[in-house]
This record gives sequence, structure tokens and C-alpha cells, in this order.
Amino acid sequence: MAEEKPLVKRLKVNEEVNAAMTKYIAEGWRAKKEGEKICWTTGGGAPRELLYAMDIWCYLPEVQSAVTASDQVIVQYHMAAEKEGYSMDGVCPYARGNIGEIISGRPQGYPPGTGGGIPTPDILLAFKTFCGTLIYWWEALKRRLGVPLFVGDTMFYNRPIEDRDVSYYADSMRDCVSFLEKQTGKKLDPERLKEAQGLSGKVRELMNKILELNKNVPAPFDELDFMGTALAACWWRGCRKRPWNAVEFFEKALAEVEERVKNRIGALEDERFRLVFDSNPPWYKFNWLGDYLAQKGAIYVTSSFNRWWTGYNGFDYGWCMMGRDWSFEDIGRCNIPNWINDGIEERIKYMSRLVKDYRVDGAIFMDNRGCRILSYAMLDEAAYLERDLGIPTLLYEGSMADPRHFDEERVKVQLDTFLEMLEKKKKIKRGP
Amino acid sequence: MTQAVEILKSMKRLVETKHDRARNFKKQTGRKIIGYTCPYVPIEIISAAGALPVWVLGNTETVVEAGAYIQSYFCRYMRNLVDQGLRGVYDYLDGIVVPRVCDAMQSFYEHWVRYIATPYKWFLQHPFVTNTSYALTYWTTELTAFRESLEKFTGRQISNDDLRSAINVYNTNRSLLRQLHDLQRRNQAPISGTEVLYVLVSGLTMPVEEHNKLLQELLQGLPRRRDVPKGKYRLMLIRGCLAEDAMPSLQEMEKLGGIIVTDETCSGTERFSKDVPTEGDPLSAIALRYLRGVRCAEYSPMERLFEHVLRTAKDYRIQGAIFLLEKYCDPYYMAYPDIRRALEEQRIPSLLIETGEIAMPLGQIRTRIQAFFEMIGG
Repeated sequence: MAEEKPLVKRLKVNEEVNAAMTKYIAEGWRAKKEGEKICWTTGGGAPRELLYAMDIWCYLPEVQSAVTASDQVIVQYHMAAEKEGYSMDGVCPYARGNIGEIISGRPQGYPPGTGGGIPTPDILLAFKTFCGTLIYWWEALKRRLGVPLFVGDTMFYNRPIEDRDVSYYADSMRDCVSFLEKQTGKKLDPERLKEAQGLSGKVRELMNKILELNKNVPAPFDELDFMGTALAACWWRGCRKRPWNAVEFFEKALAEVEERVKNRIGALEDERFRLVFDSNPPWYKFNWLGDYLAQKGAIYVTSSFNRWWTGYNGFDYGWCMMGRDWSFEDIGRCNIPNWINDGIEERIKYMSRLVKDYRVDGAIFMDNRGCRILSYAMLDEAAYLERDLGIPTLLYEGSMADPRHFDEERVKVQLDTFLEMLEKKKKIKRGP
Repeated sequence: MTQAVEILKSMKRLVETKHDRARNFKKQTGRKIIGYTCPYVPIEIISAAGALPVWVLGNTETVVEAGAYIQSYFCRYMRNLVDQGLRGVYDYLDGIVVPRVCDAMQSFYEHWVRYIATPYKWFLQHPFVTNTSYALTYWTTELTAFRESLEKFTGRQISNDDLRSAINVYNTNRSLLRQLHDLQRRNQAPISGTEVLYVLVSGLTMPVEEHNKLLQELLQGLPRRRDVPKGKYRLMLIRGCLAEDAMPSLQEMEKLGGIIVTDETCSGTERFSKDVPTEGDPLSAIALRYLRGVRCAEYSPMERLFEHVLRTAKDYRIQGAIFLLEKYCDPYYMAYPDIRRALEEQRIPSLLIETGEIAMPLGQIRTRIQAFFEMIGG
């Protein structure tokens, strides 16, 4: 029997990212045994460039929880954390997954699919560029693991950045350097930091180029699938060591996507509905969601989430810094603004621009009860898209990492109905 | 009836009529009223600008209109505040000031500004890290900007003397509340937790000078109070904001034989534990107090919160702690397992009661409290 053709033409580079991740975790465990320092840091906005410049192994518990969710093993960790009092409703599912893993005694080693864990930390580093939860979570880790913690701080980006905000961030960075130097016994080489920031900037540039290409019809890649590539940016931006140099992944991804555009190859054979999403996807239903939509000819062509860090036309998150000296002030101007740290008005403007530029037919958001910082403007955004831009919008209920908050049958019905409605709308537009 | 009981009753009435009083106050004095949400807003600056600071407080009413803008998995307290705003309950406010605390409060501010649009708005970028010198520098410059913005809005220059007067009058308020709190150390605490709630909340919604007067009279009268509360289980209440929405649960606790003698809440002891220093530059003193004097579960480092809970538990000889936590309250739920464990290590049992729209029904709360008291009384 002939092998069934995949519904979504996936990016090949993602396999390399996965393989590199397996290796990074295995190497981290090895390095730890040899006395090298392991740092757990917050996914959003923490200056991991600094860690790479100081040759510190950098791990992201948030991503680890996304991985254990997609590996379908996270619920056991949630339950272990809940047994200790971490509320299912009150505590972020990433945090519950991570703390539960610690409580359960995580199995060591990888590869994905085994539920294996990241190396245990010697240093904790959190930056308040996203949600408050990250800070409370890292404080809880400090109490549980007895590991030194540094918390860096930034403003809530709901007003233009003032000089005082930049100075504050820069002072936080200086203090962070002293902390890391003390913990590792190593001195930061400012040239290495510049190099790391330069690599990080290059990743942004490449990522933005790739995301721009999805304006093509048909879209050359599925934004959900691209999240597998974006993982490299989230984790290794600023890392020069191979095979983890994120620039190389994005160069490959760009070549792959450009090739598709040149040959008019879409991620779907028959692209009928172009969609946008907001917030996280349900990681435990990640492939299912992409495939289910693909069956109906629907594809995510853009999202706020893949662009929370790259910025977009008019939202120059960090782009203004390209080619600068990368002083701590420059890094502040680059890291403070990001979509997740934005207020409602900016989020609405951002989404509107994406919807228009990517010629989107509809918006399907997961109303993510697992993440309040991602969701707090969602109803406002949806209302604006519907009312002011005439873009049909669907919100289905779920959580990025807790499958107990996701009802597959119900979501199927919602997606079907929504896509039927989009079809009817298209027919009306085309005329009899 | 003793004088103390009369004053307590009048405080209850003050709480019940707070909105009408605020409207009358505005009409009679022509002064502006600025709403705020947390104890990290330096009300001395608002007061020095000639405006009346009023804490925007949660109540027991069902959330109706806010559901269109904020999902049900955000804390009810915040949804309820937005709901009150949408329904015009706080239509007398000239402004709103919200500090950077939890994500829910950030969301509150964003929604308030977008849909309720009080003429003046200010988001105070309170540092999340409270123990560094650069956080203090940042916070001081942030407060300088806040001061200037208020001056512009009210059309009134805020002098250092204005600030000093405001510091004095609020320090007096804090000192009086501390004296009241001290009385609760007695074997027979003279005032119940439900009464304390009215004492606290009344002070958040009226001119502080008037509240000071009432507190002084109350403190004079309390030693002669004959009908002291009969509760036998000494409790500590742990919660984010303590407002009228907590009243049904508090009443149950005290009806069943408990007495709340102390708390770790932001409108309770967190608010009055520390004074603003009276020496030196007044704005710097305010900045210092509102940065280093806070111990909320939102801010880092969190040791101060743990130390306070454990020390107060010992000082007030509590027999049990009640975590009256708002469902979906991220900061407190993240800290709860460790605070509970720390209390257990001191042999202090605790009970978790969840409040919110889809939380525990009152009947179930009652049963759990009864069981908890039986265990304490064991």
C-alpha cells in the first residue's frame, strides 16, 4: 500500500532542530557531571545571549513543559504538583509541569517521546519581560532547589520607553553580569557578548524574512509547523557553538522556504482558508490541530506568537538596534518591547496589521486558560477583528499545556462550523 | 451600647454608603477623587495633590458586563472591579492609578483605560525586584513623573511640605491601625475579623483625617467593650485583597467559633505595617517605604512575606491559618504550597478556601471550616 501523503508539507529543518535539542540536553547532562554550570532561565526576554557569551548552558523549563505536553506525559507531572497544592486553575500549566517533574524525580536523558528531562540547574535566572508567573515560579524553584536566583526587571510596555526604563534595564543587566560572574568564577568578555547579540540580531532578521514569505499565496509553510523552527530562536539565539548556532537553522529554513516560493509550492496542496492565530497552541494536540485544519484546506499563515519577538512593520522590536554597539542600554531598548509585554491597544494594532497584510480569511484563537498574560487582550482583539475588520473569529477553549482543559470533540465541531461559515462567505463573495 | 460598638457600627455604615459619600464629598468640596487598587500606590502623593484617594474595592455582586471583555479564568476580584466600572459604580472617579503587580491587575488597568476611560490614568511601573539600589532609583524617578503628572492634572503644585503633611497624616493612620492590630494579641481579642474588615475598608474610602478620628475614638472605647467576640480559635487570614467580597466567608469562620486576629492581606497588615520615614526628602522617603516596605507575593525576593507570616503567626499565637484565595490568583497559588509547608513546620495547620465565581459554595465552606476547627480543637 502506498504511504499516505502528509497533509501539511513540513519544514525539513525542524528535524535538525529536534536532533540538536536531543544533543543539547544530553551534552548538558555530561557537562554538568564535569562541573560546568547549568542555568534555567525564562523563555521570554531573558538575555540568554549573556549566558552563551559566558559559556553557560542555558535551559528553558517553559519549553521543556511544552515538550512534555506534546510527548503526552505532562499530566502525571501536573498531578504531582497539584498534590502538593499547586492549583490546577491558579498555577500556570508550564510551571506545574516543571515543578511536578522535579517532585516526580525526572527521568534523565532524552530523546523526545521519553519524557526525559533537562539537566538540573546550578543557577536560576528570571527576567520580568513577560508575565509575573515566571517570577513567582522561579522564586518557588529557588525555595525548592536551594539554587541562587537572579531576577532582572523591566517595565510593562504600555507606554513609550523612557530613558529611566532603559537605565533600569541596563542596571539590571550589570547586576546580572556580576551575579553570573560570581556563580561561575568567569569574567564576561564584552566582545563575546557583542558577538552573541549580533548572532541574535541575525536570527531576528532571518526569522522576519521567513515570516514575510508567508504573505505569498499559497503560503509556503504552516505557522504551527514553523514553531518547531522558532524553538531554535527561542533557545539558542546568540549561541555560536555548533550544532546549536540558531543562525544556521534559519539560513536553512529561509533557503527551504524561498525554494518553495520560487516553485509556487504551498504547505497545503489546496489552500482554501488563510488563518491567523494568537496565543500558544495546545502543545498536546499540536500535530492534530495542523492536520485537522489541513484536511479542510485551512492553514495558519501568520500569528502574533511567532512574531512576539521579531516585531513587525511598525513594531520594531529590537530592529532599531541592528548594527549598534550593544551596550546594556541598547540591549534594554531591544528586549523591553515585545508583543507579550504589550498593552491591549498595541496588541490590537499588531493583529490588525497581520490580518490585512497576510490576506487572512479568519482568525482561530485558543482561549488559553493556561496563560493569562497571553490571553488578557484576546476578547478585545477578537471583537475588533470581527467588528472593525469584518474578519470572522473563533475562540475555542483550551490550555497550552494541560490537556484536561481541552475537549477534542467539542473543538472539532467548532472548527467545522467555523470553516463552513468561511466557505459560505467565500461563495457569497464570489457570487452565483 | 458601648462607644466602641457605636463606632464599629458607624464604620459599617460608612462602608455601605461609600459611593454616595464620595459623590457628596466631591460636590461639597470640589476636590478630585482618584481611584487606586493596591497598597503599592503612594496615596500620600495623591493626597498632597489635593485629591482624595479612594481604593477601588471588590464586592459580592455577580460579574455581568465584564464577561464580554475578560474571560472567566481571570480572578473574580479583578473582573468584579471592571464590572463595577462598566456599570458606573465608580462614575465619580476623576482618575485611576494602578501599580505593576500581578498580570490580572495589569489587565484591569488596560481594560479600565479602554472601556471606562476615567479622565486621568497612570500606570505606576512598580519594580518587581524590591531590594536593589537601582530599583529604588528607578522607582523614585517613576514617582517623580507621577507627581508631575498629577500636578498637571490637578493644576496644583505639590510642594515638599504638602508631601510631609500627607506623610504625617497617613503615618498616624497606620500607627492607629497598628495599635488596633496590637490589641488582637490579647487572649480575648477585642474585635472580630469581620469588624476589622469594616474598620479597614472604611478607611480606604474616606478622608484619612476623619478615619483617624474614628480610630482614636475606637481605641479609647475598646478597653471598655463588654460584648467582646466569643471566638475561641485564633486564626490568621491569608489573601490578596481583603474587601467586602470576603465578608461571607469571614462571617462563616467567626460564626463557627473562629476569630481572625491577624492577616496577611494587602488591604490589611501589608498596608499599615511600615511608616514612611519623616526625615529627609519626602518623595525619596515615600519611594523607600513603597519599595522596601512591601512584601506581596508578587515581588521578589519573597523571603519577607514568609518571615512576616511566620513571625506574626507566633506573635499572635494563632492556632490555624486560613488561605482564603481567589481562584485564578497566580501569585498566591504559586506561593501557597511553600507557605503552608513553612507553617506546618511550626505546627500550625492551615485550611485552603477558594473564592470566586465558580468556587466553593458557602455550605461546603462551612463544612470544611467546621472540620478544621474540630481538628484544631482536637
